[in-house]
Amino acid sequence: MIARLARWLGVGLAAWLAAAGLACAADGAPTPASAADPARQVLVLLRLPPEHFRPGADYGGGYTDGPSRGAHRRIASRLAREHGLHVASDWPLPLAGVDCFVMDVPAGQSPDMVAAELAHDPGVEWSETMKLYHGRSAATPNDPLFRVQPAALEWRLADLHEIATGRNVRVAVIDSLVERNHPDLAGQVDVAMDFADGQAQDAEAHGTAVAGIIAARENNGLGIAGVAPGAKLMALRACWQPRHGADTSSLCDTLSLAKALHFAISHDAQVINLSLSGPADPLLSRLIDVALGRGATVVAAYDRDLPGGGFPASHTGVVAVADESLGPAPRGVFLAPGRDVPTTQPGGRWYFVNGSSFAAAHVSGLIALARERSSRARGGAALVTSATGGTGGGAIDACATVLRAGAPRQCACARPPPSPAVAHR
Amino acid sequence: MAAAFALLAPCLAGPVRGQVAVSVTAQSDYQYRGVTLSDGRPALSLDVGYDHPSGAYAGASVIGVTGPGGNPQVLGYVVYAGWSARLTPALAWDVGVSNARYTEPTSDAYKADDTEVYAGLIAQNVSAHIYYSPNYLGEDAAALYLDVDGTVRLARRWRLFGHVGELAALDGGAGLGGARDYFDIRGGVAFAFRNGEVRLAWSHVGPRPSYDSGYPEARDGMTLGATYGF
Repeated sequence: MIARLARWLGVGLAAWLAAAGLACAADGAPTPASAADPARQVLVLLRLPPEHFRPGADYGGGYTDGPSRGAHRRIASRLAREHGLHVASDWPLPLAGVDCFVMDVPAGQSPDMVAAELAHDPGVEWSETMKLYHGRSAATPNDPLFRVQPAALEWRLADLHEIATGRNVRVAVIDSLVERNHPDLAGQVDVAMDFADGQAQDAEAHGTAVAGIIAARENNGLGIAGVAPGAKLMALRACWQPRHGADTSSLCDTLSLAKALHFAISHDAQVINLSLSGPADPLLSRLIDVALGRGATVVAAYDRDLPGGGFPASHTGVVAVADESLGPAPRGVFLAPGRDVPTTQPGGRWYFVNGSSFAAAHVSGLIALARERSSRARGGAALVTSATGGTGGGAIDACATVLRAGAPRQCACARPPPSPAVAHR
Repeated sequence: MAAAFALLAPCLAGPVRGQVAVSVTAQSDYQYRGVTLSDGRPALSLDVGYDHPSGAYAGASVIGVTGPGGNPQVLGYVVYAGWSARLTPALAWDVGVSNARYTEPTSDAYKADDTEVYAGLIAQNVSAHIYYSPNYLGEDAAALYLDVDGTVRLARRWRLFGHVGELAALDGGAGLGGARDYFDIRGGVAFAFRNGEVRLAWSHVGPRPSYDSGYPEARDGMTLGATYGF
């Protein structure tokens, strides 16, 4: 009886393996690049069960390993078939407790309606439309570099660097592709990953500019000094630069940002810079909450044209930063230099940039300085504002911020600035 | 075991859909904590697992080997049920019970009937479990087994994995071939493809245990395995 059962089992398993082999062969075939418009894609989030004992497993913990991947793909295929969709890609996000599938919505169907229908399936944790996020930079003037950095004067950068340089603080720049070999950034990027289309050949303007403001090399006789030149940058490409004309803006979507956020969190980024804004999103909100729960500071650009300053600046716990040159901002929003900021650009160049993206980059650098002095310097509570000495937003007193984090009282930053005429342009 | 499934029954009947995972694993040698149970012969296992949204889970594995004369033969099966939940986004606890029955490869008689209760913690890249068995591998001996497993991802598809386990006999080793305790280590590299993974592992046990139930002694060396999930 047992021998018969075993033979049956053997034949059955051989058939299964053959099927698996065919499936593998299919997987090995080149997948056509998804030409889908992100605006016509939905994200389907399947619950990722907590990992547990499995007999005979060599998995060793990793939530994303193991047989559940196959189960999720089977569920996703069923959902796509039932709703007339096409599975474009997938990416597990264990820190958010979900496995994320991207599905293309065919013409004639509303992505909003499809997402709502999918959300009702008992196998789906939730579903949402793919959203787009824009880097908040104004047009970049094609002017040569002036040896002037607003932070050098307003924030007394040289005095700050006597106290801290952000040494070994891990700052994740979630943005477009950073030029790692730029002479002012060489050696500053500790890790670089591409979570966007993976096709970028050339460095991109927005990410390179943000990275330079945060951590450009100091005392190298070139260009600028970053706010935190001792920081270790994680250059995580989640945004891309349109490949036409002189447009140097950047664009990201929900999934690319989620991938980059997940990487930053799982690699213990202490500061996460998000110089972008767009609509609120539950997946990104969940990941930001995980990051905040792990003690990371999340800094985002405040967009005056979007309700609440746009997401993620509007998310509770995120440090929202606006360009100080555009006037007062609502309570809770911090102001930092964001106009005529010289910074690194692709091709080993430097240019001026404008926008709240770059104000946010300043604050990420400043948080890194404070974080070097004290691991308790986190979030908006670490920032001291000039007007009130409080932390409820407004213009930032950079020296007071770093001093409060634990600087020696005899440092230059503890003394008044030389004179207003010199201190401010 | 029946009681465990009875406890799960209300969950399985719930309105929220759970997830069923089916996988097939082929291995050049079926090893259990460093001891070969297939006498060094290739083994094929079919694994079915169920995860309920509440955190309850259950599963079963059937293991087949090539027996004498080249005929396929059932080596044994493992059934398990438990509960796991996240303490934080990156840390989960896990408790459960498993029952394994294995035959000696050269006969049809079951030689081991081993029930264990276990508890553990699982983080992103490392997990640790402690197991209690009143009749370890069918021997007339109670034992505790503690293991730590870890994985390091080298690239998206490549990872290293490692395992360290320590078995402690609770009766002074009288029922475990005289060995009061032994350890096993295992390490290797894995390559992931779409729904599956290929693994090459090396394992070692020391000191080598000898069981009355007739299994061959521990076998050091390399094993090759592949898993495909459906």
